[in-house]
Amino acid sequence: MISGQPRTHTQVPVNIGTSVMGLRYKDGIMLAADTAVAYGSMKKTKHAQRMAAISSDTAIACSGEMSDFQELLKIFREKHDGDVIENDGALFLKPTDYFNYLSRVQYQRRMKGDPLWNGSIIGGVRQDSGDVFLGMVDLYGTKVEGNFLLTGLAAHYCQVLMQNSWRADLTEAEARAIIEDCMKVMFYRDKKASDEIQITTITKDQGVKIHDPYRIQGEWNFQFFHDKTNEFWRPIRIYNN
Amino acid sequence: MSIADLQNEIIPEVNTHSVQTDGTTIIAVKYDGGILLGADGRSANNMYVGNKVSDKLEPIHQRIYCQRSGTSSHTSTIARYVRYYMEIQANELGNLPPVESAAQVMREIIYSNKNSLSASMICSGWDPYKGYQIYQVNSSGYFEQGNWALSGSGGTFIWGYIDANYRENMTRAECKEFIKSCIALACYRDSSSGGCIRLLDITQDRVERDYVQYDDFKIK
Amino acid sequence: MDLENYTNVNIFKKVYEKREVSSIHNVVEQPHHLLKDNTQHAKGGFNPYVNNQGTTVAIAGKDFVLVAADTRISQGFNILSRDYSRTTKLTDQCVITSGGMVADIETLHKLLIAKVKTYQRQFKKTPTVESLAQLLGNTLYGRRFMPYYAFNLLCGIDQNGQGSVYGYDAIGSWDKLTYGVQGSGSELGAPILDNQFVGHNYLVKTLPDDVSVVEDTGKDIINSIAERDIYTGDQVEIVIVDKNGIRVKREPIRRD
Repeated sequence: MISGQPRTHTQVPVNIGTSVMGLRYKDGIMLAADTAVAYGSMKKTKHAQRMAAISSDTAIACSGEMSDFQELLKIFREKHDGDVIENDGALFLKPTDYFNYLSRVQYQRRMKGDPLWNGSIIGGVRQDSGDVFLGMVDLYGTKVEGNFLLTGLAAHYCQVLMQNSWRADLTEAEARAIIEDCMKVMFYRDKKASDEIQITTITKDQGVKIHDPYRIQGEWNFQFFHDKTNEFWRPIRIYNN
Repeated sequence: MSIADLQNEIIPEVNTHSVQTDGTTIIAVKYDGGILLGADGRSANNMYVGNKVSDKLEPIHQRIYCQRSGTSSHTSTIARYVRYYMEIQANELGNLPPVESAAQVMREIIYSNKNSLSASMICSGWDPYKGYQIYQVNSSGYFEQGNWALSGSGGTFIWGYIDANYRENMTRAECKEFIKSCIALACYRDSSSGGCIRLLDITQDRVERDYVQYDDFKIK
Repeated sequence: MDLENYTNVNIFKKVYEKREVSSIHNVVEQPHHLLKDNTQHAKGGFNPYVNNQGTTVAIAGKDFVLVAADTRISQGFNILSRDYSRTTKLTDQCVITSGGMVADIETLHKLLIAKVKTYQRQFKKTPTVESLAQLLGNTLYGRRFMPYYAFNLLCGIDQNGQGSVYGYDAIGSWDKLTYGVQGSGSELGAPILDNQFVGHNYLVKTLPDDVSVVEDTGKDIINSIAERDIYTGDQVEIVIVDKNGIRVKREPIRRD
């Protein structure tokens, strides 16, 4: 702001989207995120979309700085459009190629000390061969692949939940149930999470399908929430003397 | 040492330490038939009010306006750049430029320079392609679209009021009263907002301004 | 009576003292009070380095080289992956294995593969392990001022048909070894290797000649490191390089 001072590429994530989940199931890939964007400690945006299709068979969901997510979408779109122009309409990029490209972009930004502060999950199902891919890229450019992946705070809370319930032949309903279970826990325990979530399914037949957001149900009505109050634990004692 | 000498000791310093900001409350709401923009009138630095009736509603084009909050010099320069680019685009199209175009230029400037700029702006208006639109870019470059937008330091005090009282598709009169009370409430509690309320009504046919003076602020 | 200080109170002293008038031309722009935080950080709140841990061991034999590495990568106390391969094939007779930051390791390995391909196109032959050893050292030093956070072991069959292991630090200081260990379990693994094999600081180095014995020892060492190092575990990946080529196999170890 004062001229003559060196430009410090100080970056702290400000518009924060919380954890994102990715899960491989029988028909393909399921990505899930809630629809909240926090501005510091304020829940600023309630109905944001934190996932997007980057081609007909690949989708990305991001946690972290949401303005950098919007910039990422722009980078992908420009790459996609540029490739279509160069190849006269043909598209050769597969989900793994987008994954790798993202990792390179993140690495280059990290080298400049000005990262795109995002934890991204990329999922894709090739419509010709049916090959399924799920991978995660962090702000350094680290690539991780797996059957289920979690970014943000969910990596701490939900890893065990997923580990215990994941099977290779999950149906869509079962996969949704696992996601909802994890999102419920995140809503309980993550300050920046909300109870409205959005799911994207990627399958061979239907490609990328981003479903409408919906609210999940938590369990807030246990009887002991009502009963076990302070008066129960430390009752006022009256001594008759 | 005379008193005259002492008075000479008080030397006004060049202001290198504080920046003029538009403290602000800015709000834009879509109603049934148009968009209403509202802004307060206070431009302040640290303690003092630089301009008590400032105009934070910047015309970008015939039916596109932006509202500014953040450092005054940054935001007015950004608005001037956006206006420059939109003038060129209008010339290219031979028609009104798209509101989204103006908003995306704003986003590009703010996002690419987010470490040096302090600007949170709302861009809204009417175009023949998509109708009435409201876009918002905050100081980190996060781009949002919606039926209403709120920004500025005074905005923090009225999120709850808006969550409780906003309805979709209000009439023009209802929307005007709503915005007036929003800004009045914000000015009531925010020391960086106040002075006056400037309203702007954008419809397909015309743009109309209104001015509400401090004595006419109504909270309830 | 002292008329100058008739109150004897010093709070007014400054007013009576003539102040130095700072000329506008000499004003040094003070950092804006909002920028105070910015000037304290060198590169902001972002540390470009992170350690994904893991351990890798390489042992040179008479006519083979064996690499035993774990397949776990971590971030803090989280496990990122349980089957990550930290060994990359460079030529038919050479592999490189590294511990450290996975983003840097992958970039380095990719870069070396590209350099090998360029060499092959240019000279119509495959680079030898000795030349790759020098190449890696130079590549690492090229980033002396923002190092690859990668601790490498370059392993291959040299021109005499003997197995060789070269060990590196992050900025390219390298030396030929008879065995090497890098990564989070390096301090746990080095003494075991010194005990089981001959040749660290010995004048006469005897290289082992039985692959299966070295393989079992390699697996054992990673297994033992996994007992004590939280960042090592899940699987052992064994890579054996000999005159016939490269063989890879994996075996499970403890996952806790």
